[in-house]
Amino acid sequence: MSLKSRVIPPAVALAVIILTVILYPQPLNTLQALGQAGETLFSPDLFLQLARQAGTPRAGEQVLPPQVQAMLFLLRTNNVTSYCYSASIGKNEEIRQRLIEGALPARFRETAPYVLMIESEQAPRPCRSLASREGVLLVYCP
Amino acid sequence: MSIALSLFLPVLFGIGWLVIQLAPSVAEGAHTRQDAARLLSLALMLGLLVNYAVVLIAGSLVIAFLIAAALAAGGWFFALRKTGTLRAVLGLGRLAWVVLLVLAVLFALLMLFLPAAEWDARSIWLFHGKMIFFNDRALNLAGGWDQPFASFSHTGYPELGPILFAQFATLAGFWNEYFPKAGLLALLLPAVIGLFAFVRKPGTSGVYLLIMTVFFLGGWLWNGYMDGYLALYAAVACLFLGRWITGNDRRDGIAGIAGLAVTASLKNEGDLVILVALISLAVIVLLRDRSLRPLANLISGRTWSLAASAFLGPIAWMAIKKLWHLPGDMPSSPTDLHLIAERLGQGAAGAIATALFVKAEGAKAAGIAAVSIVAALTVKRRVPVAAWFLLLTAALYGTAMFWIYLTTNADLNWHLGTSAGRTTLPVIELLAAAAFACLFDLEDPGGPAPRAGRRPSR
Repeated sequence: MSLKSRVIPPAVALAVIILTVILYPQPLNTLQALGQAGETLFSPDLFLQLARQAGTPRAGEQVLPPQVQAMLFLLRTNNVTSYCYSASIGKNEEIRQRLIEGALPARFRETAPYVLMIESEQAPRPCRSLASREGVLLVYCP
Repeated sequence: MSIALSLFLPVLFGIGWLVIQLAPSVAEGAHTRQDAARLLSLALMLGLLVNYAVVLIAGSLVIAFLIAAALAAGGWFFALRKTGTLRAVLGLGRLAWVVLLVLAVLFALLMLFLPAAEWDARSIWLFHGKMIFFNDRALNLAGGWDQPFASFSHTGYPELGPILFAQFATLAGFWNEYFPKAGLLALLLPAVIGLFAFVRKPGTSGVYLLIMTVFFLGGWLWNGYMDGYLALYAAVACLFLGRWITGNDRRDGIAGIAGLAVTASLKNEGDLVILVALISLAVIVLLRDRSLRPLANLISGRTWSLAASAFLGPIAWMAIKKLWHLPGDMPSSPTDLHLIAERLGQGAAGAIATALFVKAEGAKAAGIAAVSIVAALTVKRRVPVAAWFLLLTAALYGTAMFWIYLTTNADLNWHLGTSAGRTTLPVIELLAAAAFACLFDLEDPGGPAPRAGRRPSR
């Protein structure tokens, strides 16, 4: 193999790699994220804390909007298995979707007697307020 | 948790190896590190796909676990019976194993330690996994797939990802926002091992390949979205198919087909990847050989059974979708001429091109591919046929995405704003694969373009 054929191909590939890294920040960002992940391996306390978190049922719900976290709290503390929500909650696509996926195994059912509402909303007449949290109300409508 | 993390690879390999026994010639002649990587990747991809099919057909994760365990045991029986099988499959080389191990550990940490926070990951993929997990670990109508409450989540989407999330959660015995994402590891490793089938000395082109796949996709591989994996598997599948065109090695062809089957099991766009890859394949073969006969050799004899096993899952899901009347979720009306005329009149073409090529950075990948082609032409006075295939596939996929946006039923700006960054990923990956094919060919001293199993590199 000639020197030319040994040197040129890796040099071209190296130039393309450099061009790629200049044009795209993603590979370096990934490297940085992987490096930070690797650092946890050398910090036993942090590693154990994160590992415990990954092994805890329902952990990680802090990523949900605070209103949704309040809704999940109300549904769970009242052992609600099916619920519905007020029109204003239904109109807020983020709250609605985060509630429906977050609340499982409790399911949305249009005719459910347990209704989640915003505190400022007027509850229908025969409904009874069960609990409230962070501006969210759980009412029972028999 | 530890059971799930330690057993998934042996189980997937066992299932895949049993399927490979349908066409044992595929496992023969693994003499080089590249051959070993291809064979191991193929076994794991087939394991993933058959596991997917078993869950869809059985409906229950518990029953599917029992079937998978029996299949895996059968596969391991065949693997251990023949001396040298494991050595051939695991012979990726020490450096490759070290890189693989480091990547696997670091990606696993990010999957496990970062909660699923982003929209589609929560509203579609993990939600579907949760629907299976909280429905007595079963994928059936009682889970609510046809109910209005779940309609926002596109219940007709392919379910390979959600099934893996539900399986990992089932083995752990609980659901949270961290651990189910370990299912992503089962998607990551077969693809990365597949990439090692294209790495050889001096390895600079291989470094570029890893940078533009694993490192470029980065967060898309641990955030719970399927888009990154769709792009990754599109690239891996088309790299194998490109090498099949060049070397006519059926083992490359079947690995490419398995990769395509994974794309169809990940997202609806996987069907588009398959369509454009097959069109490109036909065009390139026709132009080169003036005949489509080589395509018939791609799958012949007993390799048909491998391809059929690979597509069992996607076909089963299509049947279930029809049976359950789940929505197809076609986001556009591609034949609506009135809509096309109206959008073009409003300057939509410019807006779409800007979103795909500038904002989503598709133009940069095209530029890098162009530089690689110029280098190939300057140094070797040729562009490898695999690169033409990958370029054509990227161009067709990009054109199809352009058309889908042009005829979208949604508000164009909203549609582009919420998805162009993700939907351009396969185009970028295919262009990167084309650039790699040029660099790989440059490293080949005088011989034909990318070819597996011809050049021992131990």
